[in-house]
Amino acid sequence: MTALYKSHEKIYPREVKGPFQTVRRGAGASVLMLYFLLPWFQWQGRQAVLFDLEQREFHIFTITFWPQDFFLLAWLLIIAALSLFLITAIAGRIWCGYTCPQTVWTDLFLAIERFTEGNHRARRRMDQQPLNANTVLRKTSKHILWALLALWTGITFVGYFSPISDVLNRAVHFELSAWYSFWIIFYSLATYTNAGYLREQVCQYICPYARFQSAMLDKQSMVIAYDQQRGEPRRSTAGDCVDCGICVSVCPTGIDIRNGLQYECIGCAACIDGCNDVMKKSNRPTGLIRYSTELNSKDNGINQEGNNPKHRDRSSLFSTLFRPRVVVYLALWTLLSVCFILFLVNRPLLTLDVIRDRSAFFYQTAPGYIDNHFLLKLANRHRSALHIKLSTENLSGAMIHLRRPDKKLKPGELLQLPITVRAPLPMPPHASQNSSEKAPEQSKNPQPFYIKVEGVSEIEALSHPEKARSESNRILYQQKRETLFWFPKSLTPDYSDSTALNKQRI
Amino acid sequence: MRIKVINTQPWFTIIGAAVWPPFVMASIATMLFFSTFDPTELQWVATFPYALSRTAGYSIGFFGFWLLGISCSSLTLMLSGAIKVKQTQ
Repeated sequence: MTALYKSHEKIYPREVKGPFQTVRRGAGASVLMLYFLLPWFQWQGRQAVLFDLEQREFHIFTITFWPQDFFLLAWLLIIAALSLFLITAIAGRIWCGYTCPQTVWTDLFLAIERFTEGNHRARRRMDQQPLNANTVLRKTSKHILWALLALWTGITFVGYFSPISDVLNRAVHFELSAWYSFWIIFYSLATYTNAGYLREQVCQYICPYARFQSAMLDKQSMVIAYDQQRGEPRRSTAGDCVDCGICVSVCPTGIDIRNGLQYECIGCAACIDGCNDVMKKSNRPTGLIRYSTELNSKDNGINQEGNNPKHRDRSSLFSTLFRPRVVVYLALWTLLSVCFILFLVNRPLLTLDVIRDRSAFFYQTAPGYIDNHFLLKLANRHRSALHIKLSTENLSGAMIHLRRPDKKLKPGELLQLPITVRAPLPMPPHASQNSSEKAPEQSKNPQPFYIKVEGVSEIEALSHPEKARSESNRILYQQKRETLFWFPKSLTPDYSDSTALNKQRI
Repeated sequence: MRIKVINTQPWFTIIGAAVWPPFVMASIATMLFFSTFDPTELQWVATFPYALSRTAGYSIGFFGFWLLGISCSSLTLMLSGAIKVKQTQ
């Protein structure tokens, strides 16, 4: 018979106070505050952080991302992963113990458990006793509080993807769509099981980071270690360890740190605070269990070289920070971050692509004029609508005729705009001599020229009316692309059609 | 004749390995896929009998990717010998 869970003894971690736990609570509280409060921030009349999946636009304060900016998001994820590697190489599993949502939510759920059921001893006793009214009351209240917290976590999660006030309003009136309800329940259930039941098992059996951290740690990474040389033999005058077992009873993963570095250790430093407390009470120097590097902890049963003072010197703060691994991670991290910021800042908010009509080079529709057809691809990545104006450069006498009068780009819109550029036919040399009016000279065939687009944003025009009024200040974004204008192949006088047309015009 | 599934590791570990990595990969695949394809446009291309909202499109896409991932890692678990399927008389 195999059980669904690993035959697993429930851990009742003892509460411990100390400087490291104060820092941990602070870090955990910051993570919780950030998560729960961020969706409620408003910025320029909209939710500050909103990954609006329905509208396919992502707002992070002043920056708006569109689906085509996805590579920036992927880039950001790579930077995040590299940050984790860098931090792990320097400070060990500081992420796991201090800021990982799994740890933070587990601590919060544990605090609720402590509030309703009492300390670790009371909880163990309660689970061993047969059910009575008091137990039922306390356990029920715990589950209600857990469920409420999990539900709030779920609603907040969905609030990152759809305006949270709207989600909450509809949730209260039971008007949420099926998918939204489903995602809230899915995420709430995941929180409830992960933080309430699975806890340290997630880190031990599911988390891939716990498994490959050994590849990122080396002998100079900061880990939590027990000073075996100082501590052993236990319960004697020779060794400092009094074998009180506090380091085991406070451990949220239920390991004995005195057995050396183990993959279950999430680096929460509860054993450090617990042990230091006992050391102070028994008048011994603190730091029997401490943050240390494998080289520096004299001999914790893993590394025999540690006894050598030469090795100990190597693991000073300077050499810990500036070993090749850290330098390489740091260099990569800096490079990627700088490139990311440069890309972000220089991202064009109005883009233009010009595609020539391939079916015919030119059309002659009006006497003396040649038409060329182009397809413009315009994208507005600005967060407000843009009024666009098209013009040409380097093609004398040219005009743009739009097949569609549509000249406004909605936020995030990708517009395919077929246009016709009409230019006067270049005069043959003798015709231009005879004519009184100066004929436009196009030097080449095909003639390279530019199609230019200028966009004026609605918000800017509204908030700065004085700027908007003066024509010179109105152009906010502009782009131009070079393309070719084709005239009829032969521009010589014997090209009967064109000369005839030109004579008519004169 | 019965088919017996034997696990060499605790079921929790096996289910975790079969479900969790595909979850992470399905999230990434969903982001990659739907940043290129809009579900509302996709339903015109695909011969899909229902009109779907974007949320429904994303959700179905995510679970589709997840299911594919789960079947992939389940097969890997089976081939690597973490789960053995045996016939008993």
